[in-house]
Amino acid sequence: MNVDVAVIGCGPAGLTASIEMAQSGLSVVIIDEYYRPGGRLLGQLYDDPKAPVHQRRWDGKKVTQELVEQAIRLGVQIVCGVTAWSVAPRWKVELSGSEVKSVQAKALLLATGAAEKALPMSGWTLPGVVSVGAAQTFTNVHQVAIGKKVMVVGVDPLALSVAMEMKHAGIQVVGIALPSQSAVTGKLSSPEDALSKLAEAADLAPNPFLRMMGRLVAGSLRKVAIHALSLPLLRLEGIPVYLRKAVARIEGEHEVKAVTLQDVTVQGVPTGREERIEVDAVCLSAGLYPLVELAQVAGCSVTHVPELGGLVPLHGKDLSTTADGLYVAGNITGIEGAKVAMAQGKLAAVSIVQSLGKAPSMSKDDAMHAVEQARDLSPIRFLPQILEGRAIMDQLWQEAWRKKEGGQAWMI
Amino acid sequence: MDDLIICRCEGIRLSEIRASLREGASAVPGVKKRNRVGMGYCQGRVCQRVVSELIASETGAKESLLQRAQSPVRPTLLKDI
Repeated sequence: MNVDVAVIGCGPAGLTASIEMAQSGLSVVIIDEYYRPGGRLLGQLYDDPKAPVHQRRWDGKKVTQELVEQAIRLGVQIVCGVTAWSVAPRWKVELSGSEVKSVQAKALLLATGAAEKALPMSGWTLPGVVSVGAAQTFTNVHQVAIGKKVMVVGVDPLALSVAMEMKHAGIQVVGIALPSQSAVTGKLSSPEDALSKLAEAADLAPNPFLRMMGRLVAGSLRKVAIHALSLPLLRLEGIPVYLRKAVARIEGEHEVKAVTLQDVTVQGVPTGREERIEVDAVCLSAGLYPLVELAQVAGCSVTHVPELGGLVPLHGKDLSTTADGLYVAGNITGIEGAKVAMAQGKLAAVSIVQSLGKAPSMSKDDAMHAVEQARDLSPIRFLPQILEGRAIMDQLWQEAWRKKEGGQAWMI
Repeated sequence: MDDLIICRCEGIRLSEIRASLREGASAVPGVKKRNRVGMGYCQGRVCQRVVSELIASETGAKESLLQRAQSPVRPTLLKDI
């Protein structure tokens, strides 16, 4: 198959990019491993308090459907259930699971998204333990309850929103708590840190008390907030948020039967007191990391920026990479929400359209500005230092570019 | 504390990974060559970062200790390669 642009990943970034590129007259194919388009958009269902009143409800399935219809109308080919297992420069994409064995394209956009980090703890391999992303997909995409009584381990924006989504779906969520000391690294999960992460989700938290707690930690009243950690239970839409208890073990012989909670100090040190809560499912949340394998295979430089979520392809503000004709958009560049991914998809598309000598619908500057705007308006911030991470990447890119160009000024 | 399974595909436990570090492994590829951690169906997609964090916590390393990806990057049918 021959096209102008191949896009890997049919989530918010890939879909949005494909529409802009097809509108500019390019032929586009999107490859996705999942059986249906949408990526992580499919599981998303929440109210966005920062959006204009008539756009508050964010229904990822509906957004997906609209994007897919628009893309198909413009002649974008969407190929699902097919795995891109390798890419080679100028640009050949190797496929598995389809009649067509490869795609040849002038430009390649990697919008592969992110994967979940594991959270190894006692009992984590028992049937009934699922990751937070799987819980979201079961609940919102397939309408399947992961259990009758669920404990959520991990106090972060994604865990909180999935806990609320499960509750809305009629599942009894018995609580949200931090994991106790890591068996792998010995690291303690501190309620203090968890609170500052919650501050980032404060806009999404419907409970005024929780919102206040988040703001307190973010501001100068940090010490007051830590003191407030000793107050009785916090609740998030009726779900207990245990900031002073940590999940020490998941129990059961053949499947999940219970979790054991340990009382901890504000620094996360166990005090010795334990209690057991019976549950039939446990949901683990340890954060996300960008999926960069295809970028590595493509010969593109990748660099470790913890503020962006780990290893990411070295990329410029226009989302070009060190490999000619290879662009990136969405969570492969750093962990953020769907609206940022969509704006990045559009920006990458504008860059690609220009590089192939066609006229995009907006200027690169406007598309870059739109990404920043989407970031400012983002209802959830998954990584507290994302802005620092973006600044670090810009600097690394400029340094790399200067080296390449032998000291010449670098222009986008 | 019980000996956690870290690599679910190959059934490799925490104690086996620690043992490979004592034998001199200093990054993910070295651990992998000693005990097959990350060499199963998912190709380390679940455990590689855990192993890397464990090494970093023991050695204080700041850089990424992950192995560079190689093709095929996803589970693929042999007939398609």
